[in-house]
Amino acid sequence: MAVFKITREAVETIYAHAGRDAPREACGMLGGTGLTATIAYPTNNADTSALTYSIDPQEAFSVIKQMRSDGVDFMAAYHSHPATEAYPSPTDKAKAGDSDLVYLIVSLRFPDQPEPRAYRMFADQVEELGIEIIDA
Amino acid sequence: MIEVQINGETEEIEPGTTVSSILERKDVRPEMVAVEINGELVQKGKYLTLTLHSGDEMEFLHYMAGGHPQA
Repeated sequence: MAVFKITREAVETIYAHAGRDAPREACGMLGGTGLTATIAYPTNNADTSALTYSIDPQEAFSVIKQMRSDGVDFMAAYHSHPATEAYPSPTDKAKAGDSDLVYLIVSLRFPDQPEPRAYRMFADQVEELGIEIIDA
Repeated sequence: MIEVQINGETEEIEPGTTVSSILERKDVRPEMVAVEINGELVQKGKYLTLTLHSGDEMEFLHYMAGGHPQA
């Protein structure tokens, strides 16, 4: 099983973002290299919803330019599941079009213990990756 | 040939190349991506006809969206 690595600082940024936005879904983008994410870029959930999320393309383009400036690649996207497990919903799968991207889902069903899980998704196929939190 | 930037990389393309043909070349489904040229979002209806010019900076990315099982 391939392993998705993420720095502690990046994952803590995601947990804080997800907790702050709960009960709405939080979402954002991750920069890094290969399968290692080093910087989290929180974005707005354009849906402002507890059930769905979307990242406004103009905000996403802006983040990608910031990533280039920071010297990292856009290699993953994240979102939270405020009350359900960290497994892709049918909607998550249907809308995941980039087979190169890692999709990180963080469940807050146990708010004191956020549960991150990472996947590759394409054409309704789901491949779970291992996950390792690293100290940069 | 003309030089353009596509997702931050310099590429040479034929004059008259459309947004749609670039997406096709990249094996990308047009309905799954947003496209920006020189900082301006491009309406999907223009993908088939809008051509790139020398020095243009085109960006495309897959939409990021979803929802949980009750959505």
